[in-house]
Parts: sequence; C-alpha cells; structure tokens
Amino acid sequence: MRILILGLIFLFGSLSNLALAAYPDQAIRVIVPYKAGGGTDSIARGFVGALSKAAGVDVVITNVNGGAGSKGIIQVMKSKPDGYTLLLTGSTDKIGLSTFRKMPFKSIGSLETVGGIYTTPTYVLAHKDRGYKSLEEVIAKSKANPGTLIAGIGGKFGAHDVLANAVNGYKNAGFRIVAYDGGAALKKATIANEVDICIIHSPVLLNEVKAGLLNVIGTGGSLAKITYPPIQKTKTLREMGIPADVGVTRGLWAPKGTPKEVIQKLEKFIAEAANSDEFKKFGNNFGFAPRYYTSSQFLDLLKTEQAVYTDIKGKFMSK
Amino acid sequence: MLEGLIGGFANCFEPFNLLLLFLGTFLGLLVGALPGLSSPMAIIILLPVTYSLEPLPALLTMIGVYVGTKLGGSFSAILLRTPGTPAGACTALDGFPMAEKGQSALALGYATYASFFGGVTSWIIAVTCIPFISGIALKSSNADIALIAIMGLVMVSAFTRGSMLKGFIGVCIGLLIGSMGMDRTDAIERFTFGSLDLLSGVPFAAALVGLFGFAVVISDLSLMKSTSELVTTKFKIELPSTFDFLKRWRAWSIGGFFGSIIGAVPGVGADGATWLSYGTVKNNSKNPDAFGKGEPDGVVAPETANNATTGGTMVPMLTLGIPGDASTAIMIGALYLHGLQPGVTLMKTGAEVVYGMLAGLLLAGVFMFFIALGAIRFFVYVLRQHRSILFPFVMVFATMGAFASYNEYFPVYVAIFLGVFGFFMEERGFPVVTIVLGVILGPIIEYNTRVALQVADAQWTTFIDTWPRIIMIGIIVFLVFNEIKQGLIRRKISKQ
Repeated sequence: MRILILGLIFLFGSLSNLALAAYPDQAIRVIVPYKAGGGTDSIARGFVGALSKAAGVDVVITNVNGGAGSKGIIQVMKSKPDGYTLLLTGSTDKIGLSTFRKMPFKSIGSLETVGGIYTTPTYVLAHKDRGYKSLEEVIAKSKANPGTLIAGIGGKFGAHDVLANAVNGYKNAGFRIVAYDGGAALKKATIANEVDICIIHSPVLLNEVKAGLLNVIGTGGSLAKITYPPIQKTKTLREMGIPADVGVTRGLWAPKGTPKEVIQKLEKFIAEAANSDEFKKFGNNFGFAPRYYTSSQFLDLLKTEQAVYTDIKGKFMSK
Repeated sequence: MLEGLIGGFANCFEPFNLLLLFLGTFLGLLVGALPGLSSPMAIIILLPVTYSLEPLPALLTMIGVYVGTKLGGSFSAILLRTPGTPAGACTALDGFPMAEKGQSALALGYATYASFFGGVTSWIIAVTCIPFISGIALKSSNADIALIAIMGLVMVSAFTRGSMLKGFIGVCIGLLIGSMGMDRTDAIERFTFGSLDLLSGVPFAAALVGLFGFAVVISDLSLMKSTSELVTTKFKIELPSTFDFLKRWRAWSIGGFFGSIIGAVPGVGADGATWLSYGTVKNNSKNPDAFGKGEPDGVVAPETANNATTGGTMVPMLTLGIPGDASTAIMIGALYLHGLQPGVTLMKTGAEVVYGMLAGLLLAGVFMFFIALGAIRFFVYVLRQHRSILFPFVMVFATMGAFASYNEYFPVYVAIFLGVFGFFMEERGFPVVTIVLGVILGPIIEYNTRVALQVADAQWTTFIDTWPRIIMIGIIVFLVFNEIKQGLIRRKISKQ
C-alpha cells in the first residue's frame, strides 16, 4: 500500500515536472500598467521581441492602465502563477504607489522579481535661454528668491516628485514644484521654456539636449551609460550634497507562488533577452545603454530605492 | 522643403507603400465605424506587424489608420448614435436625427465630403505653415488651453435652448462625473469611495457608450415590437452633390479653420475643435433651432474640424516630438522602435520619413474619400435591418468598447449604469450631450486652470496677459451675456 502511495506521489510529481518541463508552450502575456505610447510601454515593446526569441513563444503586451498604474499590478497579483502572466513596470513607479498611497500591495514581497532590464536615473534639465550651467547655480538663485523659480515634474508622488522635494529639503532651495500631467505635458512645458528646471527620467528629451536646446544640469544617478558623451560626466545630486539617488529601473515580476522551475526559466530568458543585440540596439537608439539585473540584484535595488523613498518622504514630504 | 515633399510623394507612390497606405486607411474606416474600437488601439495592434517593415511603410500604414478612423468614427455616431470617440460624439447630435429621418446616406455623404475637405485644408495649412503650426503647439500654454475649453463649454449653452436651467444642471453633473478619481495636479482622491477602480475616474469610453449608445437602445426598446426600423423604410441612397456641399461654406470653413488651429494645441485636439466649431456654426446660423434635429451643417462642421486636426497634430509630432493625442503618442513610440529619434532633431535626422509621412497624410485623405463613398451603400443596407437584429450588435459593440478601454469589466458596469441614468435624464428633458461635454471638457479645464495658476504664482491676471487670451475672455463674456439676454427675452415672450 505504502509503495503504491509513494509510487503515485512519484508519478504525480514527475507528471507535474513534465508539465513544467514543457514551459513555456503558449504565449506569455506581459502586462504594462500604463497606456500605450509612454516610456515604459516603449521600452516594453523594445524588449518583448527579444524575449519572445529567447523563450521560443510569442510574447504579447497588454496595456492595463488605470489607478495611476496600480490596476495592472493588481491584475498580475491576481493572475494564475503559471509564468504566463508577467508584469513589466518601473521600480520606483511601483514603490511610489505603495509608499504614498494605500495599496493592496507592498513595494517588496507581493510579487516575485524576475529581473531588471533597463535602468535610467532621473535628471534635471534647463532650457538654454535660462543660461543655467549647473543645478547649484539655480539652487542659489532660487534660495535668494524663494518661491519664484519653477521646478516642473511629471506627476505627484513619483520619482520626479521625490527628487524635487529632496532638492528643496536638503538645500532649502524653495523651488515652486508644479506637477504636470505626465511626461508628455512636462516635455512640452520644458521645450516651450515655461519652467525653470525640468525633472524627468533620462533619456527623455535627449534629442533636444543634443540639439543644444536644453542643458543637463544635474542627475539623480550616474549618466555614464547615456549615449551622448558630453553629458556622461554630469554631476550627481549626491556629489552636490543631496543624498537622493533617484531613477527608475524597468523590470519584470511574476505572481507570487509561481513555481521555482518556471521562475528559473524566466530568469534565463530575461537575461538572454536583456543582453541580446536586438535590445542593446533598441537601447542605444532610445538613448541609454541597457543594464541587466538578476532577480536578486533587482530585489536589492528595490530595497535601496524603497529606503530612499521612505527617508525623503519622512524628512520632507509628510506635512 | 518643396524638394523634400516631392521626394516624400515619390516614396509614397511606390506600389508597396501605396498599397499599405490604402490598406491602413481601409482598416481605419472599418475600425472607426465599429464603436469601441479606436485608432490608438488599431495602431498598437499593427505595431508588431510592422516591425519587419522599413520605417516609412510602417508609419504610412499607421497614418492610414489614423486618418480613416476619424471619418469611420462618425459613421457609427450617425448610424447608431454610438460614437467611439469624444470627437465623434458631436457628429451624433445632428447625424443621428438625419438618419432617423431616412437621410442616413445624405448624412454619411456630408460627413465624407467634410472629412475629405477638412483633411485637405489642414494639410495645406500644416505644410505651408510648419513653423506657425509648431509655434501654436509650443506657445499655447495651460492658460490658453483652459480658455479654449471654457469657450467650448459656454457654447454648449447653445445646445440647451429648451431649458437653460436643465442644460446647466446637465453640465454640472458632467463636471462632477469628470472630477471623480485622482486629481491630475495634487493626486488627491476624489469621490473614489475607497475603490481602486475609480482611482482614475470614470472611464471616458464608458461614459460615451453609456450615455449615448446604451441610452438610445433603452429608449428605443419600447419600439421593438413595432415593425418600424431604426431609420425609415424609405430606402434611397441620396448623396450630396459637390455643389450642395460647397453651399455650406460657412460650416466647413469654420470647421477647417478651428480643426487646423486647435488640433495643434496638445491636449485639446479633436475633442475641443469639433464642439467649438459646432457651437460657432450654430450660433452664426440663420436657423439655430434646426440644429440637433438633423441639420446637415451640424454634421459638416464637426466632421471638417475632426479631420482637420490631423494636420494640426501631425506637424508638432514630427517637428517637436510633442504628441497631440493618443494616436500620435503611439506613433512617437513607433518611431523609436523603428530606429528613429523623434524630437526637434527628427526633421534633420529622419527627413525622408518625415516628408514621406506628410505626403502620406494627404494621400490617405484621398483614399479615405473614395473608400467611404463606396462603403455608404453597404452601411445603409446594414441600417435597414430590423431593430431586433441591430440592437444586439449595438449592445455588443458598446460593451466591447467599454471593456477594451481598460481591458476589464469595470467600465462595462459604469457604461450600463450611465446608460440607464442617461435614459432617465433624457426622459425628463435634460440634454445628455451637456453631461458628456462636462465629462470631456471638465478635466481639461480644471487641470489647465490649476497648472496655469501654479505657474503664474496664483496670479489670475495670467488669463488676460496676452492678446489671444484677452480675445478669448472677451468671447466668453460676450457669449454668457448673450445667453442671459436671450433667456430673458424668451421668458418675456412666454409670459405674454
């Protein structure tokens, strides 16, 4: 009897292993929690071609926008943990939601990380007509006339907002922070010279920087990998005495409970796709060379970013 | 410039490119005519298909879709009163009553002529005045956008000749619905009742298909048993002659002008332009009371404006990398994926593609005209079917449209709720269109007013510190006083 039971367990185990061995045998769905056409969506679309080649099955993007990017995340949380539904979003976009709002998910732990594929710091731009050469210069000017200089950001409670508040907080800079409705609106305001400084994810507006219309005057992280050498050595905020490393790393998550074997396979596919020539080519054209993070590296990164957010929120953003 | 454009046309005339542009336009008309399927959706689905193509043919396909949906959207608005887009909603005001009168072919014909004409006008304006159009896109700041939207909203009072109070209440309900969700400047949650579904507010698509599509089905259910059809049985395909169309010069010139100029203003685009031109044409008409009851000018004006926005959105997208609407935002993403770099440098680095796209914009308009004229017969045939056959289709497409906006069921529930709500409102004499307008323009007005004030350090004088703004304020004040005056006169008459 016992042998029979053991035999059955063994048989069942090997059968489920067989099923796993077949993974993936159908299309993988990648949920992007934003509308088509934005930064995260563009990067996702640049990535899924390579991922599809690595996995050997179709990879389809579904845009689930709404709830400031929370609905897509929740949808993935509720999906079957079989490796056929994944989330692709920005690290700090997700952290911003759970840090500043009441959300049914945590920054870390509600989903399994499976790898980071593209990391870019948030940087600070100024229109050439303003004549600013460095962020320190603008901060000094703003300090002298508090509340008169405008720092444009792409939305409340995101990386832009955290960076703006860190600058104001640590340097007592007194910028008037104006939140625009998304990156496209901020882009327009910046090109039209409506704001004194623009805080936005690199490499957005890089072509305007190359054309000499905008200057890069500071950055929340190293720009060494940006595809425009003259700005690669831009001074970081940390070097200016503002300990706020702010950026965004686009990465992938799987629902909690996804079998280890599936996660391992996914990690392999993602590594292969992130390091593929195809994705590198996309990155170079997009303006920033991709950098791959294994899932544990990605998890560490999330922890660091979470700490920065909690710190800045506690110090300067919890009025 | 001219040289580049000639090169662009030469590229477009390559048989393969021409074929893709044609297919794109055809698909666009079809997608637009099916309520709920939208231009951004079709473009995003095409995106992976076009990966393997060269950049120009890929983008030409998308331009075809973009141009085609603009007209296709009004087909469903005219035939089923189920507009797929806010811009199409305006066409439903007079297009659907025309169809009910048995003039569906005429309405579709006017829409086709108007769209073609609007597209060509805006193309000429856009291509000859590239710096001007880009300038409008760049210089129109939040204060201007707020004023344009307020102008559109005030003109609505013209829709509500029946009862100003009911119209006003309708607008307020619309504004309230529009204010639901996370506000766009401070990210404060309003009227969400703790629901994550409501965090991004009432979905646009749900409000449109609910208040227009579902509401009309519910109100016509009582007619189901009667043998009458959705439109009268008089089956005659009567198309407007070119001369008829030209006679309506006031409507198409106002529509073409507003479309081209306002289309260039990011964030207002076709939504604002159609309503503004409809309101203007109606206010200037000798017979404003005919509007809303099947006045062809009421189809011509918004349709010209609708397609005239294509030139206005395309130029800032190509010259500045600033998208005017969701479709152009996706095309910017597509440019990246095809190895191009949208932005101020695109005219230099990707000149061939830019001029090819500009040429394609005009050619797509020509294709659209001929395909649509040919298709009218088919659409009218569909409409001749009995209600019991048609209504299930309207319901299915409206449901699909609501679902597809978020890829989930929540908007469908909202649409059904608003459908019932809209039905009762109409029954009681509240014009549903005022609610829709509040929902569409409310968030635009609120967000832009607030950002304008933040940028100006809370100085309200920012709304009168340039000449265009002073003129717009003047128009708004004039319209408001005029409406009050008219209302008082009517009251006097009714008392006598």
